[in-house]
Amino acid sequence: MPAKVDLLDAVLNELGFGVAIVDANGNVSQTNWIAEVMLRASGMELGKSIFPALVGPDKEVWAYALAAAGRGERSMLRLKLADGPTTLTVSPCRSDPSLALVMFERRAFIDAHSMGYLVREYRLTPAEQRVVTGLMHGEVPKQIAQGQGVALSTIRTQIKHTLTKTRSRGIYDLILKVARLPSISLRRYPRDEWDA
Amino acid sequence: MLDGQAQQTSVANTADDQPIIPVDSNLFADLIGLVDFGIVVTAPEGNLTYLNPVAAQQLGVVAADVTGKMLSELGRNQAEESEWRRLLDGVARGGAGLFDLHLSDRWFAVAASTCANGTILIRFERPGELSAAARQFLSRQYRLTPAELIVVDGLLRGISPRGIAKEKGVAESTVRTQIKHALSKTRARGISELILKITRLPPG
Repeated sequence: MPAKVDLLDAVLNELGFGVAIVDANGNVSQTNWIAEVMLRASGMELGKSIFPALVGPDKEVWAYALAAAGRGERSMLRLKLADGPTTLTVSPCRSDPSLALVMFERRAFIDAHSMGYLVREYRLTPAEQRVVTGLMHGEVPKQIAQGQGVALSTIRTQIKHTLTKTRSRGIYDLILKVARLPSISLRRYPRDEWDA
Repeated sequence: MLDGQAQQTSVANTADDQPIIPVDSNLFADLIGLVDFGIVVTAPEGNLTYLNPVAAQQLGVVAADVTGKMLSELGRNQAEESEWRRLLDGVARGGAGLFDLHLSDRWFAVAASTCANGTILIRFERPGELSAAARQFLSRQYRLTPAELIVVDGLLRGISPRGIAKEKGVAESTVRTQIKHALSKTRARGISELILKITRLPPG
């Protein structure tokens, strides 16, 4: 039995977004590490309810989503946590109707894994990597140029090369391509932790 | 007494040696069944232990038919079989990260890594359209109209404003106005930011 819980835990920890399992009263019973970090940063703890951390209409929104999950409905909502606003989905748990499954939005699109993949797959130069990083943070070419202290034309050339290499039809296409890459957790466990 | 001890030991050994089969865990299947991208779980040797519905659909297989088979048996020809084997080799070499998987008619970017007891977890690219939950959220939270949602969905599928106009049979200027409204409602500074905001939404 504990072995199965371990696997669930391990798989959840491999996902690149926060996941939490809550009961009908909103008490958090299990989280993956991303959700744990998020909830802790907002002053919440495992085993305790999310309600006290919510302010104003958010309490109602959260209660409504939990009730909807209890009825077998899935909803997406936005809550203001101490750490900042976040979007999450609350879904019913078919095997145990007293539980709801919460999934949080993704925080970052470009990390060591996704960049490593782009470099390997499309042979991006360091300058092109910086441009992709800027675009994936929502910056426009002008902002990227200013941030790096180079001419806008240089950035435009680097973007053009990146588009050609990644066979993208334009900047939006490139952003979509990168944003859609499967998410992977950055936390790695030492192997012997599992072998033990 | 002695027999009982021996039995206990052998049970303990089995638990250590055997990869855990996650389908036994309902909570696990529930959770993995909810995400909007494909997930495949295999034992350390590459036997499929679990596919979520999205993965089954993307690979064109029925989960019950392939469970227990080797990952490479998903290949419909030799080239595909060797692609799956290449993926497993990459993971076995200690690789955790993104790989490209070329099948005969399309290719996927997949993330693969090992977790508990050498279990291998493979994740596929996320889908490119608005989910039902995201649609509902955008109309409730940002008051996007149905026409604006259609335009946003087009942008998320990588279609240009002109392409969206053609698809809808309206003037490009109409689509541009709808994009402008969607941007101001979602407080996005441009299409890039809008795309990033929406693809960041949790699986729904």
